Amino acid sequence: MIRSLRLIAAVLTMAAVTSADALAQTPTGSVTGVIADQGTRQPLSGVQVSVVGTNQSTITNQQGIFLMLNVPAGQRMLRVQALGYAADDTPVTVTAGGTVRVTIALRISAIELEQVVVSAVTGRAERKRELGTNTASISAAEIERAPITKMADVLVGRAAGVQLQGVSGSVGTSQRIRIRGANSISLSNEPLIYVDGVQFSNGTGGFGVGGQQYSRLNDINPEDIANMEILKGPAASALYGTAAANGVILITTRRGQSGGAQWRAYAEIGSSRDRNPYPDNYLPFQVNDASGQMFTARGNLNTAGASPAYRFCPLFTLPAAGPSLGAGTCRQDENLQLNPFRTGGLSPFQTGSRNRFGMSVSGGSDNVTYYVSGDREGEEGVIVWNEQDRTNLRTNVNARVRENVGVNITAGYTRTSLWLNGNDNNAFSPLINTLLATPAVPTAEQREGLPAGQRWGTGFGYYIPDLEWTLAQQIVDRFIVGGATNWQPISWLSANANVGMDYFGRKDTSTRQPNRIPTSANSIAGFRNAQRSNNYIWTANAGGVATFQLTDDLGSTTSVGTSFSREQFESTFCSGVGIIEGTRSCGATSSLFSVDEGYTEVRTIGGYVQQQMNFRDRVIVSASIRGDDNSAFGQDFGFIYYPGLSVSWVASEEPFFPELPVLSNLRLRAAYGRSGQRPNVRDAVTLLEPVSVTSGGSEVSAVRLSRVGNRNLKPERTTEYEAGFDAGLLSDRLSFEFTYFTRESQDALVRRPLAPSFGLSGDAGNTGAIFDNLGSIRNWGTEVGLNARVFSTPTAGLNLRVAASTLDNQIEDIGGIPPIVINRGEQAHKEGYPTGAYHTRRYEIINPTEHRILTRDDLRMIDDTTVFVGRLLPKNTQSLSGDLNLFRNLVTISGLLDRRAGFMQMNQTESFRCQTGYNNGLQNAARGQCAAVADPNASVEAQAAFLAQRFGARYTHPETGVVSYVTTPYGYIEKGDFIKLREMSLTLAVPHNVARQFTMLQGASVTLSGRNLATWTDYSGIDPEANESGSSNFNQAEFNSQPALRYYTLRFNFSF
Amino acid sequence: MKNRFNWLLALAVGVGLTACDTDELLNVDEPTFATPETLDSPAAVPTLFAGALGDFQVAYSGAGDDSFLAVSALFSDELRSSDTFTTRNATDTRNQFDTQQGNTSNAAYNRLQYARRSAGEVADAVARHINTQDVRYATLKSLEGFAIVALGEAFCGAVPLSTSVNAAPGAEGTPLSTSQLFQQAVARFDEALGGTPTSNLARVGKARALLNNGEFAAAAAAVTGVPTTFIHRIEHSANTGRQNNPIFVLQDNRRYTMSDNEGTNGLPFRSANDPRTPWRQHAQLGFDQATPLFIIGRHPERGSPVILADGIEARLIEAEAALQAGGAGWLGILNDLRANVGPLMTARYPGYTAFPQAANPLPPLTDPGTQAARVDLLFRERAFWLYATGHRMGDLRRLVRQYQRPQNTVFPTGAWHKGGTYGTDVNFPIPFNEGQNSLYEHEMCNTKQA
Repeated sequence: MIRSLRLIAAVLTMAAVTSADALAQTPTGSVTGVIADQGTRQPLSGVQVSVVGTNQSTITNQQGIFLMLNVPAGQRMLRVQALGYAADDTPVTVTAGGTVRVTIALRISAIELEQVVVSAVTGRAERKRELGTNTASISAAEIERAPITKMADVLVGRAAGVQLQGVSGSVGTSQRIRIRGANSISLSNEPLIYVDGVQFSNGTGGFGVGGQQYSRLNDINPEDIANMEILKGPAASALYGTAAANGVILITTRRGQSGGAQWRAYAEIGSSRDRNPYPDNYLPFQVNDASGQMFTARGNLNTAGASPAYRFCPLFTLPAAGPSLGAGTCRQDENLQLNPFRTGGLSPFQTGSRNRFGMSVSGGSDNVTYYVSGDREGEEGVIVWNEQDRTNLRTNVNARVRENVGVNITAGYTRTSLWLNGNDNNAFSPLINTLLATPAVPTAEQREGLPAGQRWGTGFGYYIPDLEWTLAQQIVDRFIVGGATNWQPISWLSANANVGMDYFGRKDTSTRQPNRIPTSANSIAGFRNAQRSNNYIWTANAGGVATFQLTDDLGSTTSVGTSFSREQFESTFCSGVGIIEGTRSCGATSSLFSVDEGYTEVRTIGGYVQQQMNFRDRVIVSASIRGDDNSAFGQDFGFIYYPGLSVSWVASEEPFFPELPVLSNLRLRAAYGRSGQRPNVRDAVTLLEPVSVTSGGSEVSAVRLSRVGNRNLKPERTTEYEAGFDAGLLSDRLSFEFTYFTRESQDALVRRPLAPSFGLSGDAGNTGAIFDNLGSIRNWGTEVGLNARVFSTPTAGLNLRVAASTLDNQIEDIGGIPPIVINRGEQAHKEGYPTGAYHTRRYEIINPTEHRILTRDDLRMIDDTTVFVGRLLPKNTQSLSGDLNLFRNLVTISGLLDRRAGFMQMNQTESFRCQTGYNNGLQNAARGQCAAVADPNASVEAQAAFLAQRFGARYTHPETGVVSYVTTPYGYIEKGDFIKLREMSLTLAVPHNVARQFTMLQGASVTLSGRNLATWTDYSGIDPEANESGSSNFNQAEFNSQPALRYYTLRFNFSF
Repeated sequence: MKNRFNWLLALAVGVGLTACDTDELLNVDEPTFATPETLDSPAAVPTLFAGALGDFQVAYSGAGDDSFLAVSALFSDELRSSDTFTTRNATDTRNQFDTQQGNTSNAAYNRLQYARRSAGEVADAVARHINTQDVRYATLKSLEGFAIVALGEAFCGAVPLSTSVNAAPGAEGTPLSTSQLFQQAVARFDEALGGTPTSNLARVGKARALLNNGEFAAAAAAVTGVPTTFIHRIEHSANTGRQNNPIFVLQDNRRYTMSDNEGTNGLPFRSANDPRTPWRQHAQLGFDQATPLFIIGRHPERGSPVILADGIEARLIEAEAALQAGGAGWLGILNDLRANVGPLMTARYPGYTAFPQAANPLPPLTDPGTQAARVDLLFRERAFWLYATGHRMGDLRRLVRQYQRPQNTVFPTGAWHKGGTYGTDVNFPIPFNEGQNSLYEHEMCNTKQA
């Protein structure tokens, strides 16, 4: 295999270089024309026009006009493609030195068979009709009309089977992307991403300030995107090899087109608010002496003395765990109630703001086109310290260096500066401090009167101004550069090669100035942590494509090539304590110095062959195989092979297919493919980590076991089958896609816990488990896509789109090992159940419809042991989006509604709030109480959740009859089903005749949009989507996590 | 000319590619870690030995965090939770979570097993590369024994001691009862003494294991000749977080407060103003913003050492054996120690004189007259002398196991300071992941049995 790869590479290289002089200059002419909508006769901008069999293509301008120079003379086929329209092939005769003028009217079609997907591996452009898979597409047009604040927004609700969970509303934080479920228990379930053929790192990292991770996905500037293609799994991504098991997202940035310079400018301002339903805080107490001082100097209820003036009076007390009110143990005379989130001076929130402005220019000659853009974005979150500034620059150049040689150079630069505040399970989180604030918490004005440094009344005693000293900053400089060449030496042979590098340098810092947060010795002295890291991914692909027309009906396309990638991470870290006031350097600290260096590297080499047979362009069969070797495989494992097979049949183009107005287009498709995932770096090797140890009063060098390796590790293989059809209905005004898929991972890489008694579970994070190729996980489901041109007239039109999917997920086999428990024991990977599902012991409420104050005897434990109570990933998702165009496209109203159902969410926020508040309330601490603890009107469900977790539910042993009280978090594991109005926008376009009044202005529009406008859910927490663990693989709980924000944005677009 | 150039270029690139060694392409650098193979030599013994010392420090004492020392003190009447972490509160209240949810004591179990393996493996390396008479062999075997003692004192009576081979899982261990564990520990100490018969560390360790098994006379015999001045410290340092003293760090982070008369049965570690348990009050409340914070004076710094075994413990073992034997010497032993409290404490805790309690003398004790009261007195003396050294939880269990005291008369009981009541657990459960051992079942672990 290796020798074969070398041979292929050598042959392709030689062929590529030697051909150049074999070409002869041929006479040329020009082609120009207008592209318009067949029905409305409105000109269409952004339509791709290309000359079949050449590298020449261009895009229409605002008036729908295109111009192509230097088209080889002779009979040529002009191919016109636009989203939402049927492709058109128009023959033209180009004469030497002459100009051909054409007018082409495109017919609306909701079914898109001619849309092109360019493989990042082979470099080959394939039409969707050639693919046996359901490949999702998101175009620039869709992005432009939506209120997109970041790249992650693009993926929400736009493609069936693609779930983006925006786990936090904090600016700059990460998200979780799942395409057709979760394949792997212990490896990443994130898809592979390519930007212009260059592998893109979506890796996380940075100083933690809670559970959220920093987003690298959002380094991609949505303004630069021309289109996105989503290969949903191995059936489509087999050629991508070892990394593509979770699907592939192919992002293509904008290109220039021949003709004059086209300028585009935009400016956007917006605001964000936290409009989520935060609960009230309570303080219930009994008044024995109303003349007594109510609160102590620390804000505690004044319970001093043998006959205290006041007494904390929650609903429940022990040992009876019965209702304290009913039992007469106390009398709730007062119950202070406050919602600090809605109280001026106490709310941690401000109105956030964002702005974005940018400009791009594109154009070029027939041989060289360019696209240059610059973009500046700033956002301040609803927490005053959470802010991000980002600058994006991009230059893309496409050149036709010879008639048959094209070269593309893409270069993008992003600089991001982000300040992130404490969040989630973090004592410095503004949310946690406010959620537990006592109703008697001092306002900002009152705090001015407190003794210096005195803090009380909030969850952990911190006020918002304190948080300035607990932030983390991350600055990222990122370059993505790539070069690709396509050479067609002879009519049937083309060679493609591309190389690229994704690099980002990251600087993470955290500085605490001295004497700001008196929480510990280090904090009082002040400290500094800093890490600088370099992250590289190099991508290289080279291949050849041979296309033959074997007979009049049968064509053949053969692709052969090689791939190489290298991922490298290197870092240096320093920390120190005792910092000099005002400085921000490890060198300015005086003690507890620490330094560290990190380095990891992974390399992959692969080769592939793909054979496609095309019968009359109606039946297209492709078979492929890819072989990979990887440096992270175990020493005792060699190459792995990934086969693929795809069949596509455009049945409606068969002569026998009846011409039905109802069913105007029908394509059947099926595909099979396999991809893999490599083990993590170092999973295959046993390693000892250098550490310091004190011996005899001196620091000496030592080692500790750091990782237990498995030298037999091989990649996890995921095999996928999918089948479905695409139908054009009602003269293609309605398209309907249906897909069924089933995918199963074999040799699933599982981080198998080791019994600690082996003595291999130490304090190093990677001990205690060994990676093994165990068992399998299966995901299966259906996807439906509906795209309807409800009506289209010269003056108005309505498009509606539905993307829906079902998903089932199950661990088929876990290799005979016991369940793997995660996330406080509330979730588990258990054979026969969905991955990471919630498992716990359930209780039931006796007489649940009777409102009362419960005792723990009102709760009956149902289960003798933990049982499955719900899944993590939604079983059903549906999104509905649409555009209503009015007054000849001068007014466009767009919206996106997103529904997810069939999953559970852990309401850890309320669990923690109730438990901690109650514990400290009994100590008369200055903390707020949740409704379940304090409010006699609290629902029995809320009371039960608290009681069951704090005091237990009554459990009668089935054999012994012994009664005990068993605690369980069951009541806080809630249905997370929701519907969200994600997007609404109103765009007003300036009429062309008005725009023309201004020099050079070709078009202008203004868009008013909103994001996260409404949520409908029965979930009782703050946000059913929020997750304390950021982008973690499976851990799921809302735990004082900043939920999604509501945005309003005003945007101006200009083209000239 | 141009054509020829292209051909030459093509040839050069093509040959270059074919000459690429793909194995070389997949060869990646690993500058950060060492491998077991590179450290299997006599020259590496000091590094391995230091590694085993560090592993034991992390296991017994802690890496600035919860391990055997802190979590056993929390479970007993030495420390109280001033934290919001539910697992720590559950440990403090002796009302621990189901193993699936996890408990604070899990880290102690994992690390003690890890330190046991580490010490045993390095001891084998010392024997292989040098000999068993090397004093490091005795130290390592002793540390292996102490790790087993700690497992026996703290965890329920179903602890497997599985084996590993070359840092890979070996034979699964059958769960051992508490008594069997101490027998295993004695065997390790005997191996240590076989190499270095004068090892005071091994002697005290062996005696501690024998005492736990109720072999009082044998325990006393084991420590005969151990000088009262003997001290073996687990060394800590401010150098790295892993080396930090856990009591200091956990109190600096305001997670635990020093107890006083905790849960009815607890001893007055603060209110007695005893020079052996110095303390001060922190200006702030605990992390829970509610519990007053009292700082233990024995570990005033990040690098304060923790005493694993010393001559005081040897004398206390002799005193208990004497009391068991019915002799009169036990009180004299205790009073001899009390008479020298200043020098003894200064030798062990150099910084403790900064605390006001350090100036308090200890008057001699008188015989309380009854056997039960004598036992109470002896255990009280042990509690104060051995405060926050990882002995108290084992002693409370011994009171139940060896002296037939009901658990609710020795462990903290009644109302808990944050509301609710103490539970009835008397030991730590085995972590959930031990279920990966096919010979172990969680039903074997009874947390109610001392």
